[in-house]
Amino acid sequence: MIEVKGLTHRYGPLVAVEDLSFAVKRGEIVGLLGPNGAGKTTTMRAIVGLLAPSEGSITVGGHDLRSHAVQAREQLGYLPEHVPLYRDLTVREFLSFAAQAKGVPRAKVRAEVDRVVEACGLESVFGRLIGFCSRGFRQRIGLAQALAGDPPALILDEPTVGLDPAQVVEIRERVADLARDKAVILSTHILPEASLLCSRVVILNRGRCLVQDTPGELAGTTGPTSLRVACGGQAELVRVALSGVNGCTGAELVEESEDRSVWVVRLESRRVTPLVVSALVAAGCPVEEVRSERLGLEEVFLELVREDPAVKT
Amino acid sequence: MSRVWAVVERELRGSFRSPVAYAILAVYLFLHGLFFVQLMEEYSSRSFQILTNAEQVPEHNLVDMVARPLLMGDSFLLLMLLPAMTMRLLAEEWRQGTGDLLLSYPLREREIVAGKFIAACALLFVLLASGLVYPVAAGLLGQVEFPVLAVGFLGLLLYGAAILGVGLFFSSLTDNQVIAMVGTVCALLAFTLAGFWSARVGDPWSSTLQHMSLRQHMQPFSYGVVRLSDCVFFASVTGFFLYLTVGRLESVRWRGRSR
Repeated sequence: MIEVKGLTHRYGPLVAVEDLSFAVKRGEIVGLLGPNGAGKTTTMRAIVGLLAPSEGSITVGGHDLRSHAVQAREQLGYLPEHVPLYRDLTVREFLSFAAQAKGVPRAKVRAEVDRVVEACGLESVFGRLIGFCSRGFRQRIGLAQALAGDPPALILDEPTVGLDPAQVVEIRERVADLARDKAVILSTHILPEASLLCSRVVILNRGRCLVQDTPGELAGTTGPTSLRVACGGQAELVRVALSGVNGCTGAELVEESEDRSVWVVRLESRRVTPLVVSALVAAGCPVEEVRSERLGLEEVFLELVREDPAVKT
Repeated sequence: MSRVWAVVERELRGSFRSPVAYAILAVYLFLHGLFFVQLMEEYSSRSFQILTNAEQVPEHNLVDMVARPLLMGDSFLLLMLLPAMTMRLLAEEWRQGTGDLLLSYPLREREIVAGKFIAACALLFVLLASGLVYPVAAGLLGQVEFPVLAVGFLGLLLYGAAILGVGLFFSSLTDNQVIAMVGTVCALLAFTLAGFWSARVGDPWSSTLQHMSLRQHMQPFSYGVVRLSDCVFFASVTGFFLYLTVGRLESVRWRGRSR
């Protein structure tokens, strides 16, 4: 649906995005991940045609963004960063404007507005001026206008920034729900969000793509991780059991009481986890809790960014 | 075409939600009315003079003494008021970030510009039409030649449209509404003053400068004369600046907006 090839964009001497290529199919959510200033927004602005890339090509639904800009933009719904909206219109007026601007015929505008209002849960603020809507509602209005006209591709720039935790969960659910038959690109710097929502992650740093893969694959294949294990039995017994596990590189006692101890166990990879549990059980130490110390993707991300040679220079 | 109307509709809704449109309308009606009252007073005092000694007063009719000066006075008012109306058209979109939204929709640049311009013209029409109340009222009481009034109205519309075109262009250049307005007023004053300077320079330039003055081209309309050259002048000023605005939007899309 969306194809980005060799995208490079420079702001004067500053290279914002360098030689980025990826493709998004229908039914796929691709997360653009990276620290602030990594080039996520620049990439998205280039895809929706707000910026002409210095080099490279972008096609949306088979239409080249340079030569068939309007047809390409017809395939896109865009939620910009910070969600700019017309504050002096009511929700209904704004959404029907968005639908009409996207080419929904006049007779069908009302039905289309009803559809996106329902999809985004905006019934309660339907007639309200946007300027009087709360942050959470505005985010939903932004999502609703992106959905208007039912475009097959959605570009969402940090859709959950500035929302309270309940709203974040809600928006995520809506995005996941809506994305079933669409191609979605979303940017975020919240890693758990990416691992929850995205079927594929593109990690950017300083405008360059460091890696692209599924979040599970990224978290599973790479590097050491650590577990927090709480178990019964004597601490010494636990230590012996853990040292016998192949792939366990160290264990540190965090908390100790008479018949219970809490450990941070370092592992070569996430795949060692079941071995640890079975070794403990075999040693007669009932396992009460096993928790991943850090979220896998976060760890991977930090490591990748740290290893990136561009950062050191 | 329906996309253009979507832009027009949004623009008009926005204008009438904000106090700006009403404020401009109020200021216009107040000054226009003040001017009208003054002209009428002068007219009636002249009428008394005629009753006492008729020979000394030459031209004396409502068209020459009220309608025409009122039209030319209006042309001056529009010079000051319309830039306040156009300043927000695009500058506000840039400032609020909604311009990104607009450019991300499958609208062509010329559709956006056309929509904004048509909406501004509709406001101008409302403004001028509501100002007609006074001369029409006078016409019902006394003798006003309505065709002259109609031609004057047409002239003000064309003249106003040219101002709107200039204003729209300046509004596309910046995200600061004040700068947009000041820029527009300066450009329009330069156009107008060109007529005054024309006397100081030698010939090929003097007539050229004279032709550049917007109000100069308004004058014949106030006499009830429609000249093709004046219409073409206004249409080309309007068209030229709308064309520049479309170019500006294209450049915003492709090069990003420099603040």
